[in-house]
Amino acid sequence: MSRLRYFARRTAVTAVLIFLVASALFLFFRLMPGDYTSLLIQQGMDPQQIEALRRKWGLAAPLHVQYVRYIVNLLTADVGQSFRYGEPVWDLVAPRILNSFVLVAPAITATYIIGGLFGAIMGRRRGGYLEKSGIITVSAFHSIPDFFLGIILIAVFSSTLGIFPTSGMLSTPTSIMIQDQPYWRRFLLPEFWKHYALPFATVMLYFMQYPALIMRNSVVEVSDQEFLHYHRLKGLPESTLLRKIIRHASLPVVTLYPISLAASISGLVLIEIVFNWPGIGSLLVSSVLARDFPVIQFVFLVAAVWVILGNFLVDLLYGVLDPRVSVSGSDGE
Amino acid sequence: MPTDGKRESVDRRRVLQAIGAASAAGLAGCSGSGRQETTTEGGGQETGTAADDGELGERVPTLTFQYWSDQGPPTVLFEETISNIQSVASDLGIQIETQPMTTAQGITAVGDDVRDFHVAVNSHGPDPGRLDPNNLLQSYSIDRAGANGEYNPSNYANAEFSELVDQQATIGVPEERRQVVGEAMSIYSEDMPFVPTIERPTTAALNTDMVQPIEAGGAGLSAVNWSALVESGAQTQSGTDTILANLPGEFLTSSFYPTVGDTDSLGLYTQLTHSPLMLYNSDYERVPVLAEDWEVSDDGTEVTFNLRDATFHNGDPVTAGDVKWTYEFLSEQYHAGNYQWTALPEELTVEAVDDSTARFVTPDPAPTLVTAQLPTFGVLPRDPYVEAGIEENPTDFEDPMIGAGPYRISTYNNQENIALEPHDGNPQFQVETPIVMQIYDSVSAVRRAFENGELSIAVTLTPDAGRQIADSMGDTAQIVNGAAFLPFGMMPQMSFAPGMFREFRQALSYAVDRQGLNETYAFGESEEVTYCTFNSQQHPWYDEQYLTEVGEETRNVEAARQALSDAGWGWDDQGRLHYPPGAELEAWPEGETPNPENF
Repeated sequence: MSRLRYFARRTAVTAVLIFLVASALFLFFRLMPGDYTSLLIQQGMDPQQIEALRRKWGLAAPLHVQYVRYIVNLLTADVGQSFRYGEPVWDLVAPRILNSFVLVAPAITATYIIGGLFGAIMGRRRGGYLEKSGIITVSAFHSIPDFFLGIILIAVFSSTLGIFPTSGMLSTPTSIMIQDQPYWRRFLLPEFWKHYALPFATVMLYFMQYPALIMRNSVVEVSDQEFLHYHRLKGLPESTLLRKIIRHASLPVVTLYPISLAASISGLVLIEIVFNWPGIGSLLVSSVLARDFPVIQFVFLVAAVWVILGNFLVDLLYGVLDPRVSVSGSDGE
Repeated sequence: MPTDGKRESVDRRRVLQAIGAASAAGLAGCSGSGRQETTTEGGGQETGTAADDGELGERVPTLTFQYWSDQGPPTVLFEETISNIQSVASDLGIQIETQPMTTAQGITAVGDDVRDFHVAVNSHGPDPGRLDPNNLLQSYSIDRAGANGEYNPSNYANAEFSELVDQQATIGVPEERRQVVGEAMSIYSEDMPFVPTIERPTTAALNTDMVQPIEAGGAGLSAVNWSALVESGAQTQSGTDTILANLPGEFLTSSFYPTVGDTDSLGLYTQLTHSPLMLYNSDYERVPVLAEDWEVSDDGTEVTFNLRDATFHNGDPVTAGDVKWTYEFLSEQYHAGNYQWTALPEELTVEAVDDSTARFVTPDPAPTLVTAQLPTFGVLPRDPYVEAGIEENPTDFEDPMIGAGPYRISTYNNQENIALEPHDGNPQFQVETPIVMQIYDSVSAVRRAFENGELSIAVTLTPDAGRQIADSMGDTAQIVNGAAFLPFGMMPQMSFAPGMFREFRQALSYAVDRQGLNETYAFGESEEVTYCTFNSQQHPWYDEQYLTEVGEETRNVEAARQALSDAGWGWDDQGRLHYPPGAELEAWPEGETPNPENF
């Protein structure tokens, strides 16, 4: 019962947070000087035409009216129309979100699994060659700007070795050829995986530092705890010990996982541009330059919701992973 | 002066140092806006105490050079230009700080007469409609100066010029109009509201293992100008069956041809898929496409087109009825505020004299009809568009994407790619090979894809990227260099000092090293522009006889100082520039509009 109430309370808090973020985004964008119509002045539109467009896009209405419309539209899953493309924002953003998600989620997940295991091994081999070289390697990959890392990989694996293509999700002729097929079918094509390899590797290498180093520190800390001496005295094999250590040491890594997932979305902007990956990052950049407020606003909202839901998920997972994290502590029961 | 790239890259660093120095000076209360204590009359370094005897005016404050930071390759040139001036700032006794702005912010600030910067370093976009001078002449009219929300790039106010601008817009006889435009340009050029630097280069590359080399005119080949490709027949080498090309990110923003989001994309459609009656070729000369020829009446109120045999992509013939419907509809929608760029006269009527003759009639002469609007917008087939609902919902209908261009659109994926198939019903251009164009957001990504064989044509490259491709691919790449029809330059803000003084604008023009810019930005492939004009030498209306030479190819600091000193400016004993004594520092009060009687 208490777990249910905890879940309900966390859900309510999450919903309120999302509402506040949506409202703040609306206010920030409306308080910024100028609007999309100022772009049209360059082309010599007369004031009457500009005013007509402002009315058409609802920019001429008072702020509170715009806000109510905005909230009502959000609740009815209508996130507006792009000024620039003249299309519903959702139609524009949805495939981009999917493309970014397809790149980020597997890459970050793989990073945390591989990086976590690597960190655990480094922690168990404290002072050894593997630990020293491992720390230097993952730190080095993270010290290089992500876009530059991508360029290095392109230079080596595309330009020099000719193994992978430099850009895109598919070759242009292929993407034209399969355009009538369901969107997800492209992810099954071998050509997709060839295009996927380098951006995937870039994200992985860049973010590897977090799980590897945090896991290593955590394992070092856990390894010195008394319960482990007890298990060791019981004569448990090393593999079993490692499993127990990983379970105890993984909490900080799990905490960081959704944060990295969210951070990688912003970090993706440059990676997407380098690899010409048609994701949300490159859309965001072009929309900012074009002052396409409905698109920018919605992309920011998606990113915020992504982080909020990630944290929500972590809160729920904590209770499962570590029984010491009691749900009663949060509601007084 | 040195013009090599090494020197210029050092100068950029100096810009940053100057920003820091200017900020520090500002924090210390040394903004220089007040009257200074030392000066002397005249140029050169001989200076003396001046405040007491009133020989010097106010000290010129730290000058803010604004530039558009979101223009891609041109932004690099804007930064180079500021750096170029900055390298001689101390010789002129000025300090410079930079102010990056988005294009929209910059335009809004000028339109509102917000005096946050002294010089705008940017350019006029080469929109197809600007192949007629009317658009830019109107932009510099006094009616658009000041705080009225209209964009006058320099806040230039000259009543005589503006009268000529109004006059030329209604002269139907081409020769007479050319004369009046020339007179207006003569005033403009003498007043120098625009300080030109170099021609705006265009760079493209063709992989000659995949595509046959092309003959390109002065316009070169670019995302906004595909004329050279269709003129050469768009042929591939054996073994290649499709041309793969890139498009910049801002293209393919709307599938609705008449309503496309910006004028850049228009070039793509007008030249490839939606042929007009005539268009500008790769030498910026008008050539007939769907029209055999045309005749303008003596009073300029009627233009009669004789149509050629042509078919739309759906197989229907192009008739005078389609021409009538297209342009009357586009005009109506423009004036209803729906279509942003067509700019056709409001009282335009088109008569379908017979199936192959169309006559455009306006109550007053509309000279830009045949030089700006008609070459920019293609003819649409009436029936498919009406059936698609364009008349009921002009901005929200299922675009059938049918034109009479040398290519038909076989696939359109918004924001992603477009595939074009040859169409044999175009009377002017016969092309052989399908083209597939993919959006790329970054020039570097385009270069890498081209070098890796993923693209057979790369357009909208920077000159630097073109050079890198030439180095890495040698003879297998044809680098196509051309020039847009509007040059780069600087726009001193003329509503207040120092930009309001011609001698300052003249000094600025002498101080810029055009040859250096050409070398560093365009590797010598561009041209220095020394005559004051907003048109490049490629522009069909470029006419040197009306223009004033306002600068030199290389920098001349002495001439710059002399121009200032001849007008009473001076330098104090620390070499800092001062206005002439008692100089008025505002052309009109901030936030107001200029009174034509005073200009």
